[in-house]
Amino acid sequence: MTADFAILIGSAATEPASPVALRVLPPESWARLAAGDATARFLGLWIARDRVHALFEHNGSPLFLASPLVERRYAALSPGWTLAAWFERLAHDLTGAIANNAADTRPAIRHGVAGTDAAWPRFIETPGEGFYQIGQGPVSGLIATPAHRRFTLDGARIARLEHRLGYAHRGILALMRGKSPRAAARFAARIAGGATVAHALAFARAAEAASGTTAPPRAETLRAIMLNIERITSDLSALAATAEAAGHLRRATVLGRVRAEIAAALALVFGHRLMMDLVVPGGLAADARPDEFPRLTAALAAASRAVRGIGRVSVRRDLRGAAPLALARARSAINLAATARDALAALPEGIIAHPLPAATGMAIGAAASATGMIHHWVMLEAGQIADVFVIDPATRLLPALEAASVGMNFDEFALLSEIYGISFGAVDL
Amino acid sequence: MNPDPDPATPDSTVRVLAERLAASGQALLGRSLAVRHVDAGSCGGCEIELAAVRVLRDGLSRSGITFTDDPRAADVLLITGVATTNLAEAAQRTLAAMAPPRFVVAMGDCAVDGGVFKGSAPVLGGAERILPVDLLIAGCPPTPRQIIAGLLALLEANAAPVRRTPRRIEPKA
Ligand code: SF4
Repeated sequence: MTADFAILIGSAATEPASPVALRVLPPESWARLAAGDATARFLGLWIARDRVHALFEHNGSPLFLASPLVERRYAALSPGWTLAAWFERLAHDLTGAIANNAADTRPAIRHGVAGTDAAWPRFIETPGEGFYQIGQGPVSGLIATPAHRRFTLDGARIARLEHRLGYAHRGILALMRGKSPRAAARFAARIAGGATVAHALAFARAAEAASGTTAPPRAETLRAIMLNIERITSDLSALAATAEAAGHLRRATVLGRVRAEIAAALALVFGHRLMMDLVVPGGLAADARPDEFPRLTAALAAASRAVRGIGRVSVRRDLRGAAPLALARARSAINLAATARDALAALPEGIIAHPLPAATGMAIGAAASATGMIHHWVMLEAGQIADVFVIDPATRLLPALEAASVGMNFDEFALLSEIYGISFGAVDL
Repeated sequence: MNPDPDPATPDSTVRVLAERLAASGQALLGRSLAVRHVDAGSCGGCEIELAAVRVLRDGLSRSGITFTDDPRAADVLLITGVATTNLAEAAQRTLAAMAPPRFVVAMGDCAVDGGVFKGSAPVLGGAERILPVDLLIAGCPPTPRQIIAGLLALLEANAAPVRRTPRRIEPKA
């Protein structure tokens, strides 16, 4: 099967795209992708220009495939790649294209009219006696999250969890189309507030590559620093929420406060506590204030100290199933803080932005958020966004969280859900 | 000089609010606010600052503001995010479950008037499109101090038409 996958791809016609060429498969070859392949990782699927597109990671590099639709149909990838199911549902909602042999044909979210329940995707009913279902949301939690969860319970244990989404659907992709990359960047920055730098950067990289330009070195270094710091703040938020769910209120407050101190320092250095709207196609919208770097490095050092407590045996015990991920996020925060501190000390001088030529081209931009890689696909025509697609890691994490919840009770699930830190708005778009 | 990393809302807010509240004839019974938050379609940025409000050193405990997940115990419905078609009904149900006197605070540019999402097909606009709003806290997102100042303004404005006594607020248990 592996050799088959490689042969399929190797024989495809290519079209220019960045950072890798687009490989266009005839429909018969595309259909054979559905068998799956252990050497590749599925990232996303979307319809554009009467073609189905898919993005994979293969042998450590991106693999970008497409195939023409035939009578608005294409072969579903979900039989071999379970993560493709969400994208096939969404593609049908957005374009009407039908995935043959799809694993799930329900709508992804409700795109319909207010007051009608008909267009909501149905929850999967549980057959058999002895199970019961509990709903939660779309307004739940002290700081509410816009998702509707349906738990199927077997006694006190979760037998299945399903999310109904769409409550934060703002029509972001449609808003970005037809605009200049600079104007569209404001929407990219508001896909997920906790990953505003990462989304803005993935988008900027795509727009830059599609226009055949790059950001200047000072902007690149500052972007990397901002990305790292955003990941740290996101790790701190998730750890604070998890500690609170575990009843470690003092620890939660301390983690929340070191996070807030980083935000206060960021406001001084970059002019915005979340660094929103700073990363723009071509570079940065504003330069950093080096005189405020000491406050930022002090805040990062305090954060590194605060997360060390997560490693304590007593804390790990109370975090239960969330402990391994909490430890990983704590370690990541410490490493990123060290990297950011070193980068701040070696910031190159120079300009912070290049003008973006009004170009035509196609590219994928990627940037690392705290929860995984974000990808933006951008198609430019004469400097305008002809089409765009956004893949947030939340689309991969949600099914993983649903699977991991099986067998847990509510309290343990609450811990796991907090450490996952999923942004529903980033799925709803 | 550098900009203040976290400026608060100017005092004039309180006067404007007092007039609005007097006109609406609403009055709070006590001097504390229990806040029910609803995310009507936010990017999550406003929630990050709400989380920061909860851990402010001199913030909640001194001001008598608490968060609750029980709408029946809430005085204030704090709405963030642009009002999406899909969340409108849940937001309205939450308000309906709250006993009067009850107040609606729209927090963040999205909730104030739709922000950058104004005019997008799946959104209705600011919170005022789905609920009667008493107070707007602008910003994308507003800073923790702006949020606290807004909520305090609600308390003060509410107290102002009745009697001006020195503010002594005991934190809720
Ligand atoms: S006001 Fe800004 S931070 Fe708040 S939800 Fe809207 S875009 Fe996000």
